[in-house]
Amino acid sequence: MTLIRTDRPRWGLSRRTLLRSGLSTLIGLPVLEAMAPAIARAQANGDDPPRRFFAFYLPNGMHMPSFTPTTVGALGTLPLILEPLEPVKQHVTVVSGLENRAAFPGDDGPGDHARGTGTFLSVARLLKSDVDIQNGISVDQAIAGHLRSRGYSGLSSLELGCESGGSTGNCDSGYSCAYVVNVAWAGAQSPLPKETNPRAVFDRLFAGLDPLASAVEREKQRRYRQSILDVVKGDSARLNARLGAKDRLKLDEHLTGIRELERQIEGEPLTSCSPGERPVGVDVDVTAYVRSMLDLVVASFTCDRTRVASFMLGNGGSNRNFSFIGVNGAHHEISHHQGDPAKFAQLEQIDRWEMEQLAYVVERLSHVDDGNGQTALDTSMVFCAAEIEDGNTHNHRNLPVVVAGRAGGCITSGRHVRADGRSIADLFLTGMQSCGMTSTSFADSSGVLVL
Amino acid sequence: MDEKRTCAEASTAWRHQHSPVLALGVWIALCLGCPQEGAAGEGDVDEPDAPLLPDSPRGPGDPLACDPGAKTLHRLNRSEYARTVADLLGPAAGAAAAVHAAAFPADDVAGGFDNNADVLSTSPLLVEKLDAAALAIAAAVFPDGAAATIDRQEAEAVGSDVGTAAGSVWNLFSNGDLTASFTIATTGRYAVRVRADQEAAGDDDAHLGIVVDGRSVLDVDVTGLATYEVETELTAGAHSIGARFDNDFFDAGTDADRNLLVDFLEVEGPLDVASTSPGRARFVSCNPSSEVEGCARASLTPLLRRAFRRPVLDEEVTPYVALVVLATGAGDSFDAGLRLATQAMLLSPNFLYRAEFDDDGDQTHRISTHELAARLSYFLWASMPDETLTLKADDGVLDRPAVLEAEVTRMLADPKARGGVAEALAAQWLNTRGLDVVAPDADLYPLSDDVRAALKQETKLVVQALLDSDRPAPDLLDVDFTFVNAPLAAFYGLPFDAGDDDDGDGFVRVSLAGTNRAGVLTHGAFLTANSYPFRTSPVKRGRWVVDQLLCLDPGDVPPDVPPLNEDPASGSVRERMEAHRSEPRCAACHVLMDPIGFGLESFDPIGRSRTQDADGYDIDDDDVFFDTPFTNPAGLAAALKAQETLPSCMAEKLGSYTLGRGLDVAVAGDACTIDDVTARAAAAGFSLRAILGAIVESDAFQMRTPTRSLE
Repeated sequence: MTLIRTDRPRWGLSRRTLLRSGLSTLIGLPVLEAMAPAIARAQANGDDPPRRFFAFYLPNGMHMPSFTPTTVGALGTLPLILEPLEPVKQHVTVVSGLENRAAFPGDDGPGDHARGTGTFLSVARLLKSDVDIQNGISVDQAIAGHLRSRGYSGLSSLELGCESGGSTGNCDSGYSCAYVVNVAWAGAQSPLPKETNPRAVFDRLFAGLDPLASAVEREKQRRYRQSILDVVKGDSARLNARLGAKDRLKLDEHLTGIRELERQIEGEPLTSCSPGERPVGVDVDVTAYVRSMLDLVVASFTCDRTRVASFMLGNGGSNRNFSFIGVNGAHHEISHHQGDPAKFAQLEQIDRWEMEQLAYVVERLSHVDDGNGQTALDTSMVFCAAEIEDGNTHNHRNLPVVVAGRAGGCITSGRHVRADGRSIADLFLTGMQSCGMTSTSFADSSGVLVL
Repeated sequence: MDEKRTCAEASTAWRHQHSPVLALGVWIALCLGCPQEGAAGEGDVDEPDAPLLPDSPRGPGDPLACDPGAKTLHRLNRSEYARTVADLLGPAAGAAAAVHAAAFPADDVAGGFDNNADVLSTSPLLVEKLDAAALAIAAAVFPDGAAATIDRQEAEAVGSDVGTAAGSVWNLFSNGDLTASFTIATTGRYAVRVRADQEAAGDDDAHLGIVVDGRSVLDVDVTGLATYEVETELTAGAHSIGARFDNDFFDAGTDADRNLLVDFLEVEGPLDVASTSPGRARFVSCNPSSEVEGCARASLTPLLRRAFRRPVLDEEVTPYVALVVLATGAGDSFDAGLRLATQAMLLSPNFLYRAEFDDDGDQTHRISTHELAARLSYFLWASMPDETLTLKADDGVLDRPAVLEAEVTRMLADPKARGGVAEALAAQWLNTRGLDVVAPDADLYPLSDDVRAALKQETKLVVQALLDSDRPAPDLLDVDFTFVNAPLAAFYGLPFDAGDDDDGDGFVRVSLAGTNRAGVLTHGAFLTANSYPFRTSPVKRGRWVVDQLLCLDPGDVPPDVPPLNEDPASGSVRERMEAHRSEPRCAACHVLMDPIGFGLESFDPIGRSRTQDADGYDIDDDDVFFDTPFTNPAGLAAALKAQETLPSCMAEKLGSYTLGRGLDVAVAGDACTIDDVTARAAAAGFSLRAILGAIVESDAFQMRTPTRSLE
């Protein structure tokens, strides 16, 4: 089964004409109404409309009895945990019953948080080791690679999170920290580290914004930067010739990064866009911190600086102290609830707070103009889920999944869908095809999940 | 795969057994790795009394004691990066590097260490951040505002009301001026240049006057095509600068016509400011205005040599020189060119990776003296070799045992060792870095930033004190003094006398006699990093000791293990854990981990002394460890020091850090190395210094097996 629909919205003539006549100006428009120049240009050229993919990771599962809607079809009264999504429920699809079989224990024993997190977007079997890492490419990176190959010149992808980590060596039952702190994987052994400081992310995304630089000056700087990278590539080639195969793999990682820099240099200069306020660093107010990160996702879509993003609310098995919402305890510990009703109540509070953050970003994306009267929710697929179903049983079946957006018309939102026993990879395949990929499989998929 | 024993095995069989592995290791090394067979069993391992240092490097025919193993291309981790930049380019660059490196993605960790060559990876995000760092660092060394710029205006484009454009020059065929306006950004001393030629006629050469704001500052005879230069003071703002022709000659009879041909006008400067930028003089000792390319090569060759930690070929320098030429050719200053070259250098794999070459084929071989120098400096200083070390590498004498030992002694005494090996052992092996990621409940267990920082420093200073002494390394567990600053003394309830602060770092050494503290396990850093936000975790504390000090593996948690009963009403943490431990499948592991944690229960989740826990239960810190009953933290330390795996575990951990790769007892060569180092160090008193010295002497440190083939 393929997912090709004929009723995808086309780019409208009126707007194109407006742009060509030079009447459209980006400067001075309110942030959320400014269309990114790259999109405007694409539209003017009659190119494909943008497609975006955003993965939102939640640690430690959900309290499912208060999460799963009781009926399928149009979303009615939302369960307690989903209530924060009420204002945006026309944009969301709750999908029940999906499973991540790559995270099943098999012969690997404990380590479900690492396994669920490492495979969150890859659905690949992990090698249980803290030295040798082995995963598969994650769906966001598959999509990023496709968009890159189609000439998209912004950042390939953006990896964000609100819990740093990787330096403690304190991982899950023999699994490398790499599996616990990263969900984006460019390849089997290449986790893409996430950034956790919003100010640093903002500077990275928007520091190149220099509307005052002249075209001549920009061209000169571009030539300088390319020349620098040419020297680096020359050094790499000479070094490569003297290295053994294993060392060459290490050097290849460096060259991959250098090539990504080159791609960005060749890309469109960032000329005009309103990314919003430069954020402070890590806010002590956790909710404000999370929202500053989500704002960056919105800003990077608004300015079309990237089309693929992932966000980890916490690391796998996160032990965040939730006393800031009146829950005295650490998340992972509470999630081992042992059927204790007091813990259920605490989990409901935490889970609701998590859905408030999802609702926040969905609401903001609903105001991002992706051209032709479409918002980023029309063009995008937001995938939000946890690595396990329930913190006590560590089950990887019936995962809590909320999808937001309509993925270019591929998703009819505002519903609860049951997909019992289907692989989460089927949903990823839907995301891939909605982003224009012709792939007919991903990991253990059996076909797209029609939503 | 790790050969450590797991939970499933009886706890009585937990002890590491090195000997059988060792014998196998020697055998394999001799059969597979060494250049020459024979002399099996004559390794140093069985003879701890053998001379520690033979007089000359091991020759190509000597047998290997242990297979040295393979080491992968080694990326600088972020602290090594920042420290190397500081040593390479000076303090301003180092400060910029430290700020940027703090925002690099966290380095990959294996076995507790973040300098493991095998797992250190490079993501596109890291390269992007390295790129941004390189830009900032280059600007700090060759600052923009202070750097001289060259502003050139072509005469034919400027023009004059006298004369005519003639190809690429302006022909002043009558007396007059060719004048252009130049905008000067910074007041200072500038070179004003005119490139000119003459069409000769009559007895005299053409006169060229260089005129600044109407005033002649140079008057010369033009004898041929040349650039004429004068230095003058210019204030910030617009200035008119021109070439004047004032001895026109024309003989109508012979048609002899004397003309001044002007190619360009140029202003470079400010000349005096750039040279005063701190650090610049270290790299540029020539005058770039006379010869850009030569000066660039003269400046960059020694810099690249240091950056790449080895001699460099001319052809390796050439592309960097070309960057300088590119910049000056585009009208930017020489220093702007050096900025580009510096950026490229800081992104080059020759700088970012420590490469070791196997140019001689597949044989196990000694590493070069420059590779040896880098191994030494990165483990002792977490930075590049200094001049002294480099000279010994250049002379090819560094691998002589006496020279090597003297260098280790010198380097350990250098203050850089504090930020290097002492910092690494404290932060990584003893995991004070874990303090960064724990969040004790702010109300119950308030931990100020001051105290948090002081806790890290405390452990580091104790490690440093042991490195500086001959005390046996296991004394880390019961050393009877520590270091506190004012906030930490108040936190611990220890005395503090600022008058004892000899080195001005705010910390003083205090005796712990009469307190319940002694050794690193009673440091707040360890105790806090291994606690939960709301309570202590005897399991985490115990698990860490078992892992990192005893190298015993409690193994995985069995599936479906019931979690700890978290209800304080049902008993103290210890009582609830003991109930947990009564389950047979839990007992095998917990019988080892828990006693260690219980022995430390008199310290709360942030390491403060206590006699009751938060739920009001009295603390009971007596237990039995490996059949040894103990009382309180001091008794625990004594029980741990009696463990036979402690020395080899220390050798394994220090070896993994020193070599930058995980030593694995399941690998024969590594097991052999661990035993070799343990035995040699024991013979030398088993101080931290003796262990490090034994590692440096080992084949694993001085040799390598090619990594050419992928298994």
